[in-house]
Amino acid sequence: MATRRVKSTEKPSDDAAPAAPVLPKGMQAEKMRANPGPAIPAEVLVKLFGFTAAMLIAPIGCYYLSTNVLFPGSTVTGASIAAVVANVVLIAFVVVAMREDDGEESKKNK
Amino acid sequence: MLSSYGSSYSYPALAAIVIGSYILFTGDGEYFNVGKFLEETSPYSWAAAGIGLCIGLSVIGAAWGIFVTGSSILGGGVRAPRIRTKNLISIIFCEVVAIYGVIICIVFSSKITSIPTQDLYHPENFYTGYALFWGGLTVGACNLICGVAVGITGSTAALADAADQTLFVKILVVEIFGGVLGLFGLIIGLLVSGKATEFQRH
Repeated sequence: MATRRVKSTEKPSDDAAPAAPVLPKGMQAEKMRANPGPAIPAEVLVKLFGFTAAMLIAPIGCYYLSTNVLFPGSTVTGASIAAVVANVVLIAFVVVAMREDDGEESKKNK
Repeated sequence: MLSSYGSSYSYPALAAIVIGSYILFTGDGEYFNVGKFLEETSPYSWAAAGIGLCIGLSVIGAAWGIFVTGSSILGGGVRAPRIRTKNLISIIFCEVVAIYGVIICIVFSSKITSIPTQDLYHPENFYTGYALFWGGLTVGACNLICGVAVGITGSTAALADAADQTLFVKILVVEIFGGVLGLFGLIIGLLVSGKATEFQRH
């Protein structure tokens, strides 16, 4: 962090964008309507909520599935399966996140 | 004048000495009885305290990690907007720590059944109570420290990624090793509670 701060004070012109003028409230709202900024893609939202729901439901659901249907009465097996499923969701998120960011970088390089 | 550091420890010690001396010198010395305390404390209270400690400490660890990591991601993201989805990996590592606590608590709470009081004070029920208490404390403490470790590593990963994006994968390896620590606590908690039966009549 310290090195970055020094760098920005040395040559502020090309690193930092010129400060935007402070607009009155009404004009700010007008500007926001004209240019609402980068829209959040639908697939990002789907990914976010999908992984949130999977992290909440999948391990505990697998625990109950295992203890009630697959191996009734064995809570240790069910808990082990739930822990494994939680890690599977985690690894799936790591893979998806890595692929997404790498894809964006290669797109930019082209 | 006493320093505030010294006085904060000396008042409880003074109170313990006064109360202990009073009990001892008024002929009630046998009132302080560890064995009686262990015999008369309900196994339900041990079990419930273990479950509460397990989920409470796990959530403290996960939340601590998430707020340390989250503030660093936001701070780094302001300077270098390209750090985005990759750094949420650190957040989800912290989240897994809380999920471990939830799993263990569900397993533990399935061992609590309602039985009449006269059947409660039996060696097997005492074993279940102690196993749930110390198993819950083990899992909770492991997950607390694991969450803090993953959180601080994740915060460093976000800042390092903002400065130099080749560093992220290297720090992610360290983070994965930190994340495995909580799994050790989960395994031991399951082993400790595995031999404990439900509360039952005898």
